[in-house]
Amino acid sequence: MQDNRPMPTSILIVDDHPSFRLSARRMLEADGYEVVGEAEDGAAAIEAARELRPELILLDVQLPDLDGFEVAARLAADGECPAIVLTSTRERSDFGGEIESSPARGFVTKGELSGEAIAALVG
Amino acid sequence: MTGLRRALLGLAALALLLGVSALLIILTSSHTSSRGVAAVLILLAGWGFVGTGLYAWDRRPGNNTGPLMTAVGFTWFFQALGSSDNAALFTIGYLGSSLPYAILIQLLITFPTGRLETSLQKALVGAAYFVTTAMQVVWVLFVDPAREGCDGCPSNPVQIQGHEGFAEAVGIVQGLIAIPVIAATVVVVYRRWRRSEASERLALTPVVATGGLAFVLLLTQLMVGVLGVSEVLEQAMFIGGVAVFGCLPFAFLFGLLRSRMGRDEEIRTALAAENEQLTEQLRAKVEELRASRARIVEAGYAERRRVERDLHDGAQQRLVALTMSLRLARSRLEADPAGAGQLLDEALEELAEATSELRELARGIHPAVLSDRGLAAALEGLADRSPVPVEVLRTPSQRLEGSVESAAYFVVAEALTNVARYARADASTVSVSRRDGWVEVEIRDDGVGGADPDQGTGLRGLADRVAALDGRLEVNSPWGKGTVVRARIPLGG
Repeated sequence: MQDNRPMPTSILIVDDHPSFRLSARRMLEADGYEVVGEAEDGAAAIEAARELRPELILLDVQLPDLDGFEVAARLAADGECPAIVLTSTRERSDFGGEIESSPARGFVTKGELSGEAIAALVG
Repeated sequence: MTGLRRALLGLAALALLLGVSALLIILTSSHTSSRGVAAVLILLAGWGFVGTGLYAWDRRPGNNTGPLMTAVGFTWFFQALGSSDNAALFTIGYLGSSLPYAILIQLLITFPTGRLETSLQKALVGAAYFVTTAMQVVWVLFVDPAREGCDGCPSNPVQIQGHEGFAEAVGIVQGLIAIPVIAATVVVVYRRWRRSEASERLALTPVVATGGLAFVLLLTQLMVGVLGVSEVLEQAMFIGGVAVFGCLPFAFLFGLLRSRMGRDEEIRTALAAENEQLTEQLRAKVEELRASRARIVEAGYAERRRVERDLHDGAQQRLVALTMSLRLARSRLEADPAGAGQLLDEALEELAEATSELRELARGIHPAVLSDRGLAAALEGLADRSPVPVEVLRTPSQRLEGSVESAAYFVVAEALTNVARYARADASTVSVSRRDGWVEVEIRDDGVGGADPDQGTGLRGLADRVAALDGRLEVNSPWGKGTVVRARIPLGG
């Protein structure tokens, strides 16, 4: 049944709320993603990204140490940067133009998060 | 010691020195008859005026009476120079010897305020100074001491020779001006005394009596001198006048210290000092209010940030998780009903948690139970939710003003939060009582103590909240002996 399907996209979930990480993992796995890891702050996210080399990172904007924009900028500076999708409980407009000027592929609010929404952003 | 007092002590030392010098000059004089009497008279009046003047100056620094009395005393020592055998000193004595009388006229006319007020007063004082300074200089330029009947006196080194009669003429003119000035002064002072109210008359009487007598004697002496009736009578009048004059400073001091105007001034000085103190207190209070207001505004911002953070980290995250769980459940509904059911159960749990967190948050913003059912019910609720056992001992039987109830509630809420977090207490008690227009809130625990209101924002914020209602917050928390937080809040109107 699964033979014709492409390899699942590997994804790293970065968020400081365990309940969100659990829900996101379940949803993304149900939508065919392979969740290769989770990180709860910016520093752990950068380390996990370098180690696990996921194709995608779902990155919360508000983290206890670095914010999502800073994490994205540092990963982009590494060169081989995975596709990054920023997420937050806040609206896109709450961040002014920061999302557009960041190296991330796009933004999805947590309430609208789904495998489809991510796929639409990263194409 | 104040600068004024140091200066006054300096003047006292100078007067002492001048007095001793005067004594030496008189006692060693070769031309002064009855040197002992002269010395006593000079020292009595000189030291008397300086001493009482300095005392008055110290007691009433804003009043000119003290300085004028002191000036009379100092210039009085010029009289002693008239006994000097040194020609220069003798002539200086001639120059200055009548100056104290002019100052005395000013003193009498302005007593007890020390201020020249009417143009008549100014004219009299101006004339007195004119006679005793400018005219005296002219007189000295022409006077021959020997012709004045002073046997053995030094000669006048500045005398313009050949116009000996001119000095006598100047002297007569001086006398002719001085007599009406003195007479007018006596009249002015007497009329003021007559018109004064009973209490002020009490103060003026010693001065008027003593001064009046001295002036009458000296006036008589002048008239006798001008008329040339009798030198003996003139001398007797002079000695009598000077003796009474010697008592005058004490009369001034006595009058000044018991004068109502003086007392008024003392009261004014005291009031001014009190006023200054009150102004200082007010300034401190305003500063405290400004700082407190700034802290309250900042606390408001901090509170809003806290509410935003609580919402973001709490209910909002749970609702996001709930959304995702529901979406997942819906997608599994047909293929995996059991899995979907489990997700729905989890969603319900999340929903219950979110509801509970929102309720807590709303209560932190304003407890509905407080406005609906009052302080007692709200405090019972706080006690029930506290992880440390809390006994509510006392609450007011009647409702209080909203702001007071609210402040009392948050004092208890914050104190109980601190008890649960830091006190390691086994039990605590809460008491709110109404007494004499005040509400007293007390939270007591048996924990480790050591709470410091200056550390952390919780107690500080409470203190500001209580201070905003003109109340006070006290924290008594010795190490190892538990903590008592006590707020006293006034009931308005």
